[in-house]
Amino acid sequence: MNSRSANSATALRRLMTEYRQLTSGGSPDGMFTAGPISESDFFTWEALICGPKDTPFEGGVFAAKLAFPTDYPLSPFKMKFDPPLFHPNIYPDGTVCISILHTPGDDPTMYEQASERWSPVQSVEKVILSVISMLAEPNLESPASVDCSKLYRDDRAEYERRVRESIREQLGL
Amino acid sequence: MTNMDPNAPSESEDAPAAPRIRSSDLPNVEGDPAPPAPREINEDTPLSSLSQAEIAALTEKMLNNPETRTKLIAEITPISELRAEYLDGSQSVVRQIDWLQAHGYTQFRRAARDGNCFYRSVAFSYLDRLLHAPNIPATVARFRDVLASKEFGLTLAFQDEIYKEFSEQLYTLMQLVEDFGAALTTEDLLDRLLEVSDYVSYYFRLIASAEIRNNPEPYRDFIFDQEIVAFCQSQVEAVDSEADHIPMMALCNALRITLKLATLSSHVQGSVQEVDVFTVISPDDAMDRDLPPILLLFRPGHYDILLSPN
Repeated sequence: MNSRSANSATALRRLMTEYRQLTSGGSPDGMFTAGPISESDFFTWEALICGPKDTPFEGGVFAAKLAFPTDYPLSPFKMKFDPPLFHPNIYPDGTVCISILHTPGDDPTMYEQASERWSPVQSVEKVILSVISMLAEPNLESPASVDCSKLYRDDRAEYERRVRESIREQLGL
Repeated sequence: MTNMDPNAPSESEDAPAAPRIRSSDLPNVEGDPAPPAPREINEDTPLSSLSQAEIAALTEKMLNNPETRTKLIAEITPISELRAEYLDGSQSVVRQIDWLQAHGYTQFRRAARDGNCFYRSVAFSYLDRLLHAPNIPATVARFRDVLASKEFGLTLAFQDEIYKEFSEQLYTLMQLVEDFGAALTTEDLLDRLLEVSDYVSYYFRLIASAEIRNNPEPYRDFIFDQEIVAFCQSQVEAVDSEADHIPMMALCNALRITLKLATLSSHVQGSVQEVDVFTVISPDDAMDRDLPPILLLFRPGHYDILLSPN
């Protein structure tokens, strides 16, 4: 047994446990679903997230890919919206920038000291709930999309219009 | 095992694109400084010339290097090697190392500086003491009972039984010690521990954190400007967060173990006394008084393992 297989065995078991809990318990208010894309690869998940009510994202359903490392949950997973979402804390390629997915040593913007960080007692569910609240309330202190952050700050009405427009586009309306 | 490191970040399309600095509605800046060309960094590169990005890249390279990963806890090293490193530095540290040498503490093991040095060093010493206990099965049973008594508190502090994926790695190693006893050498044990030391270290973090969360009184006065839970999340449960005296006390209290800490301080004036060097943390209900204490060597910001005099 080498450390790599010990790692991925633990990771696999953790992912199966989380998946079982998500499928049996469901998410709070049915706000999202998440699970592996295929049975042959438990380390790549897809999540479908409903846009939170009373925000410009209401009515949208957003798909994100979750990529788990072999030493999960010691290291966090990566989350990427596909197609990308227009949001201050989402990079133009769709990758989510949120403190709960960063370890304390990994702080690209140095603005997250006080915020909640990744630790192995976090879970897919807790992260996605944080992402949903991030959709409702962007964190302008660590912008991932500079253009979007500027728009959000300077012209909120136009920001909301662009978000709604992108949702309509994604829905094919 | 291949040379591919599973932890190495891929340079594929997964890496987030850099945010666009220049906004479309801003005028173009003349003479935009070009990004510095990547350069080769070698032993002769002056440290002061390294940019933040270069330092970050070097650190990441080191942490992901399988060579350095296997040295999470290094082989036994004469402490004179450490002394040599301080000859041009703090003479106070040199005098304390001299004191340790004069009292028989001549060897130590270096622990990797990755934020887990305290927990990993304790984990190693915790298991190595079992291996050298006079009656291994009885001692393993006693240690296992104390660990089992923590499980209710762990369930209370962290919903579900999330701790089990970490605790079982420690139990497996304890079982190994019990099954093989003296047929297992310390180096065998170390090899086995290093395969799973991130998990065992994390289990000790959870135990320390649950102790603080469930029984905050002895620790509250040492935690400033932070709620207990926020402190635990950011300073104990976060992987790689370094241990200060609070989780150290909590871990000893929870596991009922005795820790003897040799501190190398740069502020000791004049001749060195035992009280300048050693601090003993031993809870009233310590259950390991028949064993030599866990012995660590502390320099500000880092813990190594100190070997007892033979």
